[in-house]
Amino acid sequence: MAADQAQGGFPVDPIHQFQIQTLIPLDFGGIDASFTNSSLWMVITMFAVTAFTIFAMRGRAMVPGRMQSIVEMSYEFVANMVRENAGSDGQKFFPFIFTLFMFVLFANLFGMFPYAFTVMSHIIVTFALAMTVFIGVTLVGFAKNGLGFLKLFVPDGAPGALLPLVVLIEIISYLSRPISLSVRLFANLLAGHITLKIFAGFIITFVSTGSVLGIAGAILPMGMIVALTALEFLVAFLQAYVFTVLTCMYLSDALHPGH
Amino acid sequence: MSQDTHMTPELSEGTVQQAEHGSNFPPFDVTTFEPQLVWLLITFGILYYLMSKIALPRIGTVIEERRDRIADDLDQAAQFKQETDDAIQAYETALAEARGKAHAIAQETRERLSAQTETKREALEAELAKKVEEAETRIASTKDAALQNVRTVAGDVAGAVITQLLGDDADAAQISQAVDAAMNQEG
Amino acid sequence: MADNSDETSQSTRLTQGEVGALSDLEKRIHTAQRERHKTDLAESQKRNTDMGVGLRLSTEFIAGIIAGTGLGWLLDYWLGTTPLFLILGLGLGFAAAIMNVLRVTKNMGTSSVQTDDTKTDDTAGNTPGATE
Repeated sequence: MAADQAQGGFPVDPIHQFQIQTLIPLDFGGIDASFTNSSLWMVITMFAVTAFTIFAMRGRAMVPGRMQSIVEMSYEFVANMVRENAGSDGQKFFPFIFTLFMFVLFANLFGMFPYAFTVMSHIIVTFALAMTVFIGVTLVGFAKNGLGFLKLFVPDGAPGALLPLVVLIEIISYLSRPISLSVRLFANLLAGHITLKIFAGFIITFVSTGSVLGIAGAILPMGMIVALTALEFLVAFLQAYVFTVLTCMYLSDALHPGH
Repeated sequence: MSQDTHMTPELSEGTVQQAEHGSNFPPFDVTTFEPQLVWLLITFGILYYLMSKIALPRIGTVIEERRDRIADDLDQAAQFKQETDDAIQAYETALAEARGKAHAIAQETRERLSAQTETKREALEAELAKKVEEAETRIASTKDAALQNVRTVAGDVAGAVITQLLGDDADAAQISQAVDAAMNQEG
Repeated sequence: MADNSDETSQSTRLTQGEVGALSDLEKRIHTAQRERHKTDLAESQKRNTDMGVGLRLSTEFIAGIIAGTGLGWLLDYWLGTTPLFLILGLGLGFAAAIMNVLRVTKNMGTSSVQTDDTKTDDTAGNTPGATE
């Protein structure tokens, strides 16, 4: 319904860009594994990150070139993030967190290309990543602390009679983590891309009037698009960063539930 | 907001309905979930494998090596600096020593030279004094001799003049007395 | 005599210049060494500004309500007590949502205190996050 209305209102349908299109229908033992535009951009993201981190480091130079410097900066960036938020024993999970950060970041940045598909604008993808983090972190918590991990749900100044209620609320709060993690990433990218498309629609509407006033009127949304695009690049990075930082924080909770 | 109205029928009416709902709002289209999850698993899994097995150890090694290298270089630089400082210290003391020594040598030389000059000067002065004395005596004797000659000549001339004027031989004693008186008057 | 003194002053002036260059070098070596130690610390502190924390609040809240309500809905679905746990879950979810938000705000407080101790620069980066 929303899509139909948008289609009527604007020459550019702001929802259309999120459409999944099957490129190659595939089926593995009853599982629909069709290669879609989303899959295509996931694969592109995978290859891009691989190229970035492996081929840029080919020289392994003592004095790094530009690309190597950027790769090393990313490495140090994530390594610092893990060290600060999850502590030194979180270092074991650095490869996963680095992969997570790079995957989300590159997917978001590719989403800024015209005609590209934004992988993280689909809740199922962000939710799957968030659930992976959530389940993984919970398992780590129990593996590391045994039942002591449950201390996480018992706050320090527990007021006797209210304790069951407080613990219940804490558990719900804990369960809400993957939701907030996935919704934040999904909603930010979705909203950003819809806004961009709507402004692009304004330009086309103005210009298609053909009048001088219409073309002049297109300048304002044009400027907005430039500003919004810059903002969206920031959001693309920031959301990848936030997703990863929160993963580190949850990991920290799992490693040291006493805090 | 509209997403919520889509969500509720999907959740309550079951999966058959969802396929028809497919095109309404793509991110909530349940039929697309399966392939997305499959491909997310594939791509993320491969990427994780590549990162943890190849890329990250490689980057880590390079960074670690460089870090050690820089630390070594800095330590070495500090060491060289220390050595330089020591060398400068040694140089400065040597310089000060040399300067002191040079000063002493100069002083000594100067004293020796001035002493030498002094003795030479004294010898020269003595010689000169002697020569002056000699010259003075010589002059005095020459003067005496000359005066003697003058007296003789004056006596002779006076005698001759008197003889010519008076026609008479003059008393030699008187003449020499007069000459002496005249000469003393003159002199 | 004059010649001699002039020579000595010239030689000292030369070494003074060299000493100046050397002390400069020493300073540079020291700062380089100190900076290498600092990068681990200061850079990490700078990253600790939790710039995304402000963005968390709204989603944390919504997520708390969704989690509570979802859990209630699931229980109702299994037990067939349709409105009961849904409403209970909504209430608990609301409480969890508030707790989520409070926790984020508290974290922001502690992180800003941590950075206060080390660097004033970071508080400037932190305050907009806190006001958001």
